[in-house]
Amino acid sequence: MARTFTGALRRRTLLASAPLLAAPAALRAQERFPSRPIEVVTHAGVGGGTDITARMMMVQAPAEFGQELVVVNRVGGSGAAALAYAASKPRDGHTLILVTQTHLLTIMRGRAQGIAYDDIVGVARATEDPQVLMVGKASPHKTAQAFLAAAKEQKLKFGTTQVGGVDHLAVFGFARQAGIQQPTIVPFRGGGDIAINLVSGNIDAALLNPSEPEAQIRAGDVIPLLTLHEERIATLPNVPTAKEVGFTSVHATVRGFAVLKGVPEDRLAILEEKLVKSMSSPLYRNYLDSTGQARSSVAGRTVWQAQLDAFNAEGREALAALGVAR
Amino acid sequence: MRPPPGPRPRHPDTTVAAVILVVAAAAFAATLGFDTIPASLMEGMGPERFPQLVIAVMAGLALLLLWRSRGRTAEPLPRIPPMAYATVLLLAATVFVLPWLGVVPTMTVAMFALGWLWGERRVWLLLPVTLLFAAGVQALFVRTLGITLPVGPFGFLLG
Amino acid sequence: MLEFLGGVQAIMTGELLLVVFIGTLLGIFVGALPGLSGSTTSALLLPLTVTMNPVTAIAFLGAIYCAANYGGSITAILINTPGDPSASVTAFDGYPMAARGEAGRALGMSAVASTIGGIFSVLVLVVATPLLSRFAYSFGPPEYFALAVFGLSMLGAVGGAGALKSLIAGCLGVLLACVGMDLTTGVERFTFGLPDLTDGISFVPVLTGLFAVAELIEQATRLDEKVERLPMAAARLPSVADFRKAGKSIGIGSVLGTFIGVLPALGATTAAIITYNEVRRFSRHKEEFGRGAIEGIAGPEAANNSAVGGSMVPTLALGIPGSATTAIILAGLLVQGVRPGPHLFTEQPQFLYAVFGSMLAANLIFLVLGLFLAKLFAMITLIPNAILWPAVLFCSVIGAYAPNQAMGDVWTMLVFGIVGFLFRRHGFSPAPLVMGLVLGQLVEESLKQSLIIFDQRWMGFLERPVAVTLFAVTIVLFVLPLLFQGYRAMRARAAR
Repeated sequence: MARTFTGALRRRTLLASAPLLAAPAALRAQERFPSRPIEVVTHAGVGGGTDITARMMMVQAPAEFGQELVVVNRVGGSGAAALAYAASKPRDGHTLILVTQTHLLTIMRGRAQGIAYDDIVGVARATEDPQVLMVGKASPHKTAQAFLAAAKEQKLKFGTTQVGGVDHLAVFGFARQAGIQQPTIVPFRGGGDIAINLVSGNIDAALLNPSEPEAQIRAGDVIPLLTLHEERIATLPNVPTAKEVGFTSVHATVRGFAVLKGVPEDRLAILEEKLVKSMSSPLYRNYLDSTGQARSSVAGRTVWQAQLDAFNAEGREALAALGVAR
Repeated sequence: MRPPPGPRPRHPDTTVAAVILVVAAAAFAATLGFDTIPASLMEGMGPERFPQLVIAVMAGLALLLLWRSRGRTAEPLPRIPPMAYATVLLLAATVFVLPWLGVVPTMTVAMFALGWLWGERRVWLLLPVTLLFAAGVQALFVRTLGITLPVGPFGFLLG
Repeated sequence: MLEFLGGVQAIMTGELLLVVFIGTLLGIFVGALPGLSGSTTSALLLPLTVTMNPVTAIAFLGAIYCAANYGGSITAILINTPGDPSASVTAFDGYPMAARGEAGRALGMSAVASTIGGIFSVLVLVVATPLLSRFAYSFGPPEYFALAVFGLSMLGAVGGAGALKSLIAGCLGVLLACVGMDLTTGVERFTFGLPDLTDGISFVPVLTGLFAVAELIEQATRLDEKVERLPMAAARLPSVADFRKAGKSIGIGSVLGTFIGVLPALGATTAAIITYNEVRRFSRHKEEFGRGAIEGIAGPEAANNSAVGGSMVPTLALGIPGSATTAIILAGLLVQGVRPGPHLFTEQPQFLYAVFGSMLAANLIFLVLGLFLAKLFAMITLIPNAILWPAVLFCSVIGAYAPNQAMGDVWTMLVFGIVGFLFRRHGFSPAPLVMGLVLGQLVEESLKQSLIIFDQRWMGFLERPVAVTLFAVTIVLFVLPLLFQGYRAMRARAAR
């Protein structure tokens, strides 16, 4: 399925790798790949959300690769430490980075110590969790239209995580796309805290992944109003998308695998194929289902790279508009 | 008891208070160097306000401590024996070489070295205990739980 | 209640009990090791549980969670190295007891108090989860701010070395909590360009440094002293008199721990710290605290284990995890296709029975194991220093490095080892520093969040009944003893 795009990608990676790695790459091309355990570098600590994704995917992967996969946790610098670790390794495909938007943001803000966005080559997407606009049950605005109309009149309070982080940028982008007033940001440590404060009415609204306040939605304490995704979400079939309401706004929390530029094309193809295959296992599918993420989360290079590119462009613009780009 | 001859010893708290005041001043200087934030992100208290408040309270308390120790004398604290310095040096050296030699190899050597430094000369006891301990750590953390530790150039010896 | 016991009985087959037993054993072990916590272990074992049947998987994770929290106290008492952050408070009094040759008393008290706290919270969980879960909704930033102020109000009193020094240490702790990216502005503070500091100072290395490494340096200064060690005394378990003395502390700890555990933003560590303050406040032997008070072990141990049950309330009833470990248990539930929420109690009660039953069983198992092994563990204090402490160093370095795999954390540990050593030399206690570090972030963030919610009006706090009540309690408990003291001094003067 990725055939049309790989030509361009191949040229790019080969050109870049030629002067640096020509000789060893030519030698290695003869070897079996992978020839030693593959390291998966994540910026999350052991037990963090991204770490769990890595470990879930890895249940099946060793069988596919015929090699062990090892999770390497490099916490610190919002992904900078993980990127630096990957950069210190040979670019032979034996080091995968579990990339999130946080990594890209760190690169955009020039905090990734010499790694530029062009160095990131997407391999396969692992999860895509759409953002959904939600309000508490005490909110006077029970439909997307009513909410948007009110948000044009007054400055509402939105709960997010870290100011200047991925969720904040999503709120900023959403507000611009929807043409509402830029809301007051109330930052919290995590999605759970945000859900609780939605219910208690301390904040007016939030963008959340549908699985986070699932119990609250079922109990009617939290009301989802608007899906910021291409199409409606299976678990929230009655919630319209932004497009249906009349504007385009697509935001999601994504995680996926990437390597640093310089990995030979044939190895990229092997990595892509086997990763996608191991993430099509019943176990991983079950994990996606039960955390409320679509099975279409798993995608190959074309889709994933395009999504990374889009976020990169959008993120840079948003940071500049917020005045924090450096 | 008569005070000892010579210059009167300072109360140890005087030094402590002075050190804390220096720390407070340095921390305060650091708060002045925080990035400025654009007005679009400014929501109430700036990032430097809270730390500055805490620093001010701390400095105030340190001044109080200084004032209280003024003119008072106390038994000088016992001298820190050379062994403590040697131990700290060994620890610092250990941490310094850790990324290069690998965690398990370095700590095995450090465990033996610290035992030796502290006067344990029964090598027949110290060495097996050290090796067993290292093997246990390797088996549990690296083998069983799959936590990656830097292995260093001698990592291949661990299999 | 009867229905519940019937359900538990139905589900507790021999096979399941064996799994719970293995989980408990593993939990005690990883809890005791400074490098591994209950949350790390459950995360590492999560893929394994996916292959188990759902009930077994949840029972296994629940047992690890309960036992790890208890296990942390073992190393805290024996070698001043909290195996789990929630056990750091236990080291304040546990280690002095062990150093006095009373390791068995301390360990035994920890096992009993942990079990009572744990079982109390499970029973509360069974009876009151649906009710308590709504309670989490009434705690927003203003309420957390009031609670944090309550926690910090005792700062000057702990540590025993004089209020001034304790307050300075507390300020230092709060200041350390400011390191890293500011939540409300995204500005990096006190990071000095080091990426390892962007996400804040890691808690575990600071604790390991302040306790274990500082003690190691301290030991280096006293190598010449010959310590008389009495094997028999070290293994002696607590007496009936000890339990009578600690009963009130266990009660305070169980209630406070459950309450704080239920609040999603707070966990076992905060529960233990606040309980330590309150136990001391209501103790008749305040002077013993920090020097080996058995009440100082009983209260926090009851609290950190009852916080385990407490944190299951929002996890199961709201799907919002109250701690790192419950976040992983939640992931484990989701992977098994179990959706937490109020409906869980009616639709899939067998999972609840599995969770409750395994937690009850784990508590009883570690009580038996704990008392049985306390004598054995106590022997660790008899190992010669030149062998014991190098081994502690090994564990500490692994413990500081492993969770985040950052060298910066190992340096942090070393720096705080030296700080801790100098601290003690000059009459400071690490207790207020740890307290400041744990509560500092909560104080600042909840204050800033509250002010944003109130549109920067400070009077907004007065419109929140729960917050006002907490402030009032803080003031009353803080001011009353002072008035009482003044009154007694006046009476004494009048009598003369």
